[in-house]
Amino acid sequence: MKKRSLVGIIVTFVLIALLCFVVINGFSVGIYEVKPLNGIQQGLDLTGGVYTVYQATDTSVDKFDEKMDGAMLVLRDRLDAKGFTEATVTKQGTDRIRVEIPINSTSEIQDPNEVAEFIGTPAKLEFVDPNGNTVLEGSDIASAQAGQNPQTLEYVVSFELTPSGTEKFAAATEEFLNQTISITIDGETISAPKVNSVIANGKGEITGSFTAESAQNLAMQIESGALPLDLQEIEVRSISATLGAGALQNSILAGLIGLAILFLFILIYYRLPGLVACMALVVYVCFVLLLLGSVPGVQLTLPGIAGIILGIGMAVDANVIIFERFKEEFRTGKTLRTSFNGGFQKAFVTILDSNITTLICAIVLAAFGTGTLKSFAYTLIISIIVSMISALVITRGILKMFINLNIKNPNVFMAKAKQLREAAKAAKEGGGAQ
Amino acid sequence: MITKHFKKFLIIPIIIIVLGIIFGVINGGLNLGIDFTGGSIVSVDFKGDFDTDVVQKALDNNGMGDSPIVKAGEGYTQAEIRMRTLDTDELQSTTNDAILSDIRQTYPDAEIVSVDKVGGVASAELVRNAFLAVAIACGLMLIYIWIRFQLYNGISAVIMLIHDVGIMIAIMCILQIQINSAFIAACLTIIGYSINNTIVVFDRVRDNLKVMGTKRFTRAEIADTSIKETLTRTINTSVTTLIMIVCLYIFGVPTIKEFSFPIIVGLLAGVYSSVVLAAPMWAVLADHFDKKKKQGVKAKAKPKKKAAKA
Repeated sequence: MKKRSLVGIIVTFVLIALLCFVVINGFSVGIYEVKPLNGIQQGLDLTGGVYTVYQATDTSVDKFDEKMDGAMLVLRDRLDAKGFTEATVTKQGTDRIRVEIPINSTSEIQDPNEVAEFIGTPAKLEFVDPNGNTVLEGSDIASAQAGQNPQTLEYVVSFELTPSGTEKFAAATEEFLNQTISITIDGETISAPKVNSVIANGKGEITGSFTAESAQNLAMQIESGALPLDLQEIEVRSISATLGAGALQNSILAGLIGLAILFLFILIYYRLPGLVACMALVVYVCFVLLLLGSVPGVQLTLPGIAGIILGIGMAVDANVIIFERFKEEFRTGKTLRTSFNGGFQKAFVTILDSNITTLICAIVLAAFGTGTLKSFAYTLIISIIVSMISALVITRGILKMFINLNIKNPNVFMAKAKQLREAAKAAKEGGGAQ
Repeated sequence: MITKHFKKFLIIPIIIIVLGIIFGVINGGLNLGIDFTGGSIVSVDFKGDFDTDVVQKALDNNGMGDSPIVKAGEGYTQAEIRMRTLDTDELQSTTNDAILSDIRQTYPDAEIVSVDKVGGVASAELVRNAFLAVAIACGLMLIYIWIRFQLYNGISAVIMLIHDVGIMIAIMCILQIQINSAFIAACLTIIGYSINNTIVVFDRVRDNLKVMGTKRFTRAEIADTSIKETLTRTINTSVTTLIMIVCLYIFGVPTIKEFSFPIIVGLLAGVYSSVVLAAPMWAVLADHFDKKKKQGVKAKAKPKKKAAKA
């Protein structure tokens, strides 16, 4: 057992060192690729991107201001759907909208025009009956998804209608049975299917020579709703990081210094378990960075960095809770091993409850928040889950191996352990004598 | 000890929040930055490569040092300066001219090509959205805590959150530090962090309720014991997080400072609330409603007796 634990500890050390190496340099095996540290998508605030200015083509329409606000919300939704949660949408003057998008060497879409076109398309969807009347509009659609027809392998956009849309569609399909209802987007007919049966369940598919990507785009556009105004792109230009050059390096440096001081603190205060906590923290930081690099829609931004720091705080917390419980159990006169097991069990409930509560908060923010709020929430969710695993699995595993080494001197595990043990013994004997 | 003096411990946060309100009224609320209020984007064309430090100096000289500068355009030959709205258009244009003439001392060819008024990045819609999301999150957390602990725990946990964020806002009001959309992120960070601290204390209360029991010990005693037992953990955890965030504050660029300062305030408020307010509040709430319940039972019981006598 002793020998096995020793080997285990050495193997763990090597594995952690390897993990650090992979995170910093990245590596690829076959189709699997782990992006290196600088491959993480970075937000507008850290690396810059492009901005586009849209001009409303007709300012004389009714309720113009309201429609401008509506258009800004639609743009926001579409940017979020494309994963540009860090993009900003602002009104410029009264009839222009300025969109800043973090496109740079780290993003998947390299051509800014591609995004600008995607978000700026009106995407006004209409179902038109043979007489030229509109029976359904984009707003009647509750949800839309891109998919593939299992038989024809054609890419389609399947949709589900709102209750009122379902009624209208049922009525229309009944009236125009065996006739065609054409589907138009921005006035252009993309398909004109023949109505074969009355559709009363409010579900349907739009076909029309889509590619996987264009189907996906259309689904996203339909979901975000049509733009209430016609917008014309008048300017696309690149901009540098809003935080100024060096902000990222600066924060990374600050983070590293902080981490170093933190390690020192834990090591001095918790000794050997402290070392274990440091190892668990290194694993935590590595995994968070790995996940940040591979989860779509997650970008490293200032709020994101905050999420990671909060996560480090919480990862330390879980360790601290375990160690404090461990100490408490030891104080009652138990052996190192039993107090470790007992302490861990008690700490487990605490860690679970506190993390789940924070997780609830993060999930709600991810679901209901927009823009920055979303990317902050994603980072936080990743941090919480990884920190929980790092404390519950890694800290526990390594510490167990160290305990199995049967180190004679308990002072390695905590300060004044010998005195504590004697005090506990004395208390027990005193209790026995009574 | 702590629970007995619960009301006294309430004084400090109340004073801070009241001061915050007073300062807020005097200064017209929070010092909102360009992210909220909007402002103008001034584009300066340098017709070549340039150094942002020169622009920064020109802004500093004219009291606009807090405006972010980005390089833009083909080959990054233009500077876009985001300035907060000044009181009058006249002041705006004289300031712009003063900045330009400062820049021209180094780059004589520099020229202002456009001045565009822009709205805030964090629109009212965005802020409302954030509030709504936090409100829903609080509701769900309350339910989770209710299930895992007691309703009183949930109520006091949510009150602690309001306390922590309230203190942050109050301090920003008092010091009139400019806040931008990063402040929203800072508030969220504190909400996530502080609930964690509170739950750890409540977890200990739950444990001690089983071990000590409400028959032999009062709730106040249970709360005090739990606070004492979790104190080392609360302090150590907060110290470790503080180390990280203080480093960010010391070594970070101004925007990072703008963001880490409120977090430091929130962290301290969070430690305070989870140590001396959360558990005592639970004890006070639970005792209060227990008493009411008992009184209710008694009140119901009494009329019966009277009826029997009659």
